[in-house]
Amino acid sequence: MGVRTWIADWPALRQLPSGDPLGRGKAAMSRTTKNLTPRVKTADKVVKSICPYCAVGCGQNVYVENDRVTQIEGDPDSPVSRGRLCPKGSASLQLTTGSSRLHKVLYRRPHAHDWEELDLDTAMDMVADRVIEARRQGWQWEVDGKRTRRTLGFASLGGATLDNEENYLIKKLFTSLGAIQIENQARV
Amino acid sequence: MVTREQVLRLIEGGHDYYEAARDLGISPGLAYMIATGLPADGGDTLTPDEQRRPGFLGGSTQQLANHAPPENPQRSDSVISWIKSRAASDPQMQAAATARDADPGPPKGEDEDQDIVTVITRDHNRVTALVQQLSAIPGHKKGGSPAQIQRRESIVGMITQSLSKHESAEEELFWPTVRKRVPDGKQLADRGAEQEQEATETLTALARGDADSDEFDDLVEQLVLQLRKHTSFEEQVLLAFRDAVPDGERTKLGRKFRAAEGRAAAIGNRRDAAGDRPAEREGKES
Repeated sequence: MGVRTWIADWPALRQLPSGDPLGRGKAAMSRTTKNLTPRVKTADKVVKSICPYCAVGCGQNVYVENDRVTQIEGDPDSPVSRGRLCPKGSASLQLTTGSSRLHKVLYRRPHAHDWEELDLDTAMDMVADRVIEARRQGWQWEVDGKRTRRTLGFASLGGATLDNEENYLIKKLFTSLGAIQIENQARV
Repeated sequence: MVTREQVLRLIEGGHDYYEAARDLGISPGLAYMIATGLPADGGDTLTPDEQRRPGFLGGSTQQLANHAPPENPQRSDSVISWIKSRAASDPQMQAAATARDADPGPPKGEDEDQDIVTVITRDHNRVTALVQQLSAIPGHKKGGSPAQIQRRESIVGMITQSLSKHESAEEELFWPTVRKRVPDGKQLADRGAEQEQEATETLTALARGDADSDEFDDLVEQLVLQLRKHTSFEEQVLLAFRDAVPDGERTKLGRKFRAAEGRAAAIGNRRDAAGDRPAEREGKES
């Protein structure tokens, strides 16, 4: 920092040319304040999402920088919440990036005492195999001489945080698998 | 300090908020705030008065305050590749894919030419294509893999399906006309019907047999020979038929023939619906 800058940055001097003669605005700003920027300013993209917590389903803007979530805020365009989030929803950043978040699939074998870690791929295959097996086991071509072509091997029960579109997809998926018991809790 | 008048002058001069903000050296969201007194990323319900303020933009303005572009992730490559690998390793999906690959489908220009001779020839070509595939795939005797044997079985199924509707339509429309109109028609029709009867018997035996056996392979060989013989015989009959029956009538017959095939297929489907269909058998087995 040269002598010139040092003198020009002197607040008493700064207030004269900056159009702030009383020194109560920009002229009084410290360098730290001047260099402060909101953390959303450097985000690469904003992903529109829905708050995962309760049945209200407030809209969220998820700010992503270098493929990592850096901030989560209310989405002002959401007709549900108009940009507001409750304290818990405002803290959803901690839900995604907090140290207590698990990043491995845990599986407890039947009768086992402890959890073991699985790859996501292994776990997904296990789920898919069980779905196929349960579908086959519970399959009914006919009941009382009437064509049914359905499975009673599984049912679907959705939580209240599912939105309309997710419920639509889940209904389509399970109906195509042959399930007939498909239900979800209503949104608020 | 940027004033409301400065911003509004630029906006009224045809600038949008991004350009105005760049000219004034401030952020677009701030420019909007200065011009209207409303935050660009606000979520309040606005009064009619507020909505009439100069410089007000209807709809969503949060883009002015958010520097990053919005994105809606809709697909993930890892999910798609996982689904593909699951489908590729599933026997039922494999069988379905095999059947789809092997079925040559309706030939192009199906609706253009309705002449019965063309319609029948097209059916023959379709079956010939299937027979060629069948002969090309090694079966039980030649040490074919389980997938290949399964494929042979599904091709036999497709041949049966094509032939049954073809034969029943021929019996209804083609052979009676041959009998009446073509010279020596009676003998030709009898011979044709006899050959068809033989092929049907072979197909029935195939449907009952196990695809992974020597008998199945013998029956397939027999079927291929029978079909070749029958097709070449019928092509000769068709030549005579073309000379004996005039154009207009052949087209009329062709249309009826297609309709009869459609009806036969529908009967086949109803029979399937009543049971004894491969998919059904598989469901019950496990």
